[in-house]
Amino acid sequence: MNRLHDILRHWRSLSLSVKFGCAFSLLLVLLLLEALAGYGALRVVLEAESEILTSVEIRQRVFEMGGELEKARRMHRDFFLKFSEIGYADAHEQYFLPAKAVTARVVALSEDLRKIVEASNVSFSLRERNKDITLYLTSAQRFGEIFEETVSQVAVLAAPKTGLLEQLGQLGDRLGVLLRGATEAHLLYLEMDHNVQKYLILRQRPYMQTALNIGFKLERALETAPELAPARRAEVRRLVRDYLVVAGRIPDVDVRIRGLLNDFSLQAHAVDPISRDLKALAAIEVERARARISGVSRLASVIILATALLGLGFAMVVAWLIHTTVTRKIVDLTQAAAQLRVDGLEDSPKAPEGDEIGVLAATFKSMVARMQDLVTNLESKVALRTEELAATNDMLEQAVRELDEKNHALEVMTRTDRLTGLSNRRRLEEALRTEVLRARRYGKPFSVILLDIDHFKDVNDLHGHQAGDNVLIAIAGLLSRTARETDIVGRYGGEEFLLVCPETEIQVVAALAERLRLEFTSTDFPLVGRVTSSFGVAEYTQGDEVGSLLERADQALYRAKNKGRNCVEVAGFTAC
Amino acid sequence: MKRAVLALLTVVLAALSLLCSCETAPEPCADKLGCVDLGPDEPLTLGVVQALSGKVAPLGQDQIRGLELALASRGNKVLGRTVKLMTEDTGCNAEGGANAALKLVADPKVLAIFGTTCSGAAASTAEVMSKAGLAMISGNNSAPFLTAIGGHRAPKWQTGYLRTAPNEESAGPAAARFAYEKLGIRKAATINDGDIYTKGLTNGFREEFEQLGGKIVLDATVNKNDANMEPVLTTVINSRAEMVFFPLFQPEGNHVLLQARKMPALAKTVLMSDGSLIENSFIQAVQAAAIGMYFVGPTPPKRTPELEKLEAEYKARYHGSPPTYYFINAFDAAGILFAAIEKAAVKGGNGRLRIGRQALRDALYSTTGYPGLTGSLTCDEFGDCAAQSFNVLRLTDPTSGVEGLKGNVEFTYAPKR
Repeated sequence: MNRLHDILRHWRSLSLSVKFGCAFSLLLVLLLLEALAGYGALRVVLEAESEILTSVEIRQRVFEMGGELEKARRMHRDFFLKFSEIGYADAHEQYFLPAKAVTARVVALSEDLRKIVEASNVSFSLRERNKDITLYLTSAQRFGEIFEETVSQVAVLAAPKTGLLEQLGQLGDRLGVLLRGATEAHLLYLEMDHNVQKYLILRQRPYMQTALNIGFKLERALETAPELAPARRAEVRRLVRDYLVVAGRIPDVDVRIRGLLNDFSLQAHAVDPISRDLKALAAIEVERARARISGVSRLASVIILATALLGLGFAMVVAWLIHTTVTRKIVDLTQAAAQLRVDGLEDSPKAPEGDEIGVLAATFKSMVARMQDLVTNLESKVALRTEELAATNDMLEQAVRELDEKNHALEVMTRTDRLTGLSNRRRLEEALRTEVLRARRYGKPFSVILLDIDHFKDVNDLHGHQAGDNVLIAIAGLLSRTARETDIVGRYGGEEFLLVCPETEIQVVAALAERLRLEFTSTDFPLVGRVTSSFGVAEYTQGDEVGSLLERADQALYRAKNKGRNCVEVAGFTAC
Repeated sequence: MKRAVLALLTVVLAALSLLCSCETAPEPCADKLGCVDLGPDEPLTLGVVQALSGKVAPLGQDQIRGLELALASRGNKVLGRTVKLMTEDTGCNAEGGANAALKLVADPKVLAIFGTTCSGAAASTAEVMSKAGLAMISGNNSAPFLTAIGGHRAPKWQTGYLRTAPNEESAGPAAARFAYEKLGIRKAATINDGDIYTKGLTNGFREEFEQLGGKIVLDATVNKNDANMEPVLTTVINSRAEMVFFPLFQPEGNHVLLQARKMPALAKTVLMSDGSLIENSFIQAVQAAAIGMYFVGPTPPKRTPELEKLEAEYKARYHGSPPTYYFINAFDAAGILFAAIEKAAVKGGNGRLRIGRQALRDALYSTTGYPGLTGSLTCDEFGDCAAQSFNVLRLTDPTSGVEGLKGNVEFTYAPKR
């Protein structure tokens, strides 16, 4: 108790500045606490948000990757289903080549996915799955290689003209014709061919081996076939041998193709669960991040509520301290001052010692006489001062207005071409950068027209620079009138102008350029007469930077110049 | 006051520098194939690629048993760490091998691959493994195509691939010499199943047999899972071969033998297979049909107390006798791999461990005079670690099983390396 009493006594003896300093320090600590709690919560929420975005991106990539691989597999299946129906060449073009491109996309996607998982702040379990993504990547690469090999094996078997099946068919047809009339040999040939056909349906090697055995018998029967002349016999013998060689090769190719197909099914068996697990893991990641946000939000709410209650307590303590040490003393002093008025400024005011209010009370008495004098002259002095203050205020406002106007003029000058009043090169480049960012983010098209006045040097040389400037001003006016409200028109430099046409496809912009070209051609410029211009038009494509887009427009313009000027060249095709 | 502030700052800075020095970043890996970095509690990870389904599954399982026994002999630890085995099934085919290897090499912690069982799967596994910079060792592959033929790199050779099973480059020649010199055969037929293992053997047989003066009148192929062997045997009859060399696996080998025995025209034809049919399951399946049949297979390891101890451990652990001797090759392969890992490993601070992938390959290739249970093993530049020695066996009594068969040695061929 004594201790508390000592503290209070010490507190009363402190100066006002120290008392206010202490009170506001307490408030500051409170504010800092609240700020720290808020910052911490915000940071966690931001991290969790980043994790959610990454997980969503991962899931999206996995979906895309899985979908593309499925597409490649469908093409692979269709290739085998259709090649015998539509022919090897068409199947190659319709299924194999697109599947190859799709597989390349899967490889690129899985490579991207691997990099995202490696670089991002995902959970340990998802990071651990990076080896599965590597497996996905290598399996996709292998899918492409195996598909290519399968197709080459199918080509050995079924390619038009060179394929074993076609060779076999041709040899069989010729043998059938040559053996007509040789009864025993012909029957053996038919039996051999029957076994080959059985093999081709059932793909069981013993049938082919049986066919080869019958072929062996056929060769022996040829030796004693009286129906065959020697030359024909020799030809048949050669054909039988060729037939047996070709037929004997088919099972080996089939075995290889079966092995490759088995490879496909093993790959599918290996990678399908990966895709499924990754999707599930990414979903768990999102849920985990959401739960984290929710937990942190609850904690932050509790902290903020606690600090608010604490702050309220602090505020009450500060109010009590100020009341007891400042307000009450001022009230006492005020009552003393009122008493002074009642008493005709004769009594001395009472005030506690120890702080500035005490000092104030001490000096109060000595001010009484002077106060009388001040009260007497107060009104005239206040009027004078008010007048002076108003005049000063007017001057200040005027100065501020002038400064604003100059700033505005300066801003306009830095973004405007002084001669034509159009946007200058800096403003155009800013607009281009903005449009590139917008096109990249939202995938909307935009295009540019770069135009250059033809033979402008001749205009300057023949009619003087003032005439040249007038042409530039006239063209600027024409461009501003003809361009749409959303287009940004500017002088890109010298006699070059640039139009940036947001959210506009190249066909529309090419038409606009053509309209401008016709407008120029039909305009009679004072002193100079007809002036034509060449136009280069280009459209933003994904991956473009400002430089690359302008370079394509400039190349188009260059082509327009080379084609005799006064024409519109579109990057990619011509309109001249 | 200023002095106190300065002292406080000094203390804070010293504490910070101490904290920084505790967690120094590891040095960058200087190995050209990359490194496997392991934390203090991380196990060594090995990929195990074997045939664990189908008829050859017992062989694959025996390879894993050989590896387990080798680990057990070291208290289940290498470099004081546990060993994590990531096991994949090849199905005894090339596609299975490639896909199994792809799964393993995707994991950067996998140090090496122990496998495979079948040579066909080994070729594709080794290709993927080699590109990924790993090392691989097998206790069962014996196809010549995988390492060396005639002292030159074989077509399927891959750097980083080694084996302790003998290269069967000499198995075909052993069979051919026996047939030509001892049995007086002059016309022979061969049957393979399209796999590089069986093709390697029939090629070796053909080259030696023709060099000796014989003639190969038929070089036929059957498909795996073919059951009807009558057509190919009819072709054998047509070819008038005196002998058929068919180094096939089960069940195709069984079908060839059983159906040949039903064809009178083949009654006098000599039938010879190789080590893939030197199995109790084969003898039990074909019984008396196998009487008089020949087999060419690797010469079994010499009986030593260590080998007998290992066999006793095998029986105690797995409650049965090993179906073949290849688990011993697997035991030796695992031993060579563990020794190489120990040689290549570099211990870092805080219990960390670094193993360079090229360093591991170098350590494997530098294996010289390793005291294996199959004999002294020295790995050459092609990856062959075992010496070649082959016996030709003749089955006379099916009831005595593989042990009885191995006692009937008719011929031994052991060319110098």
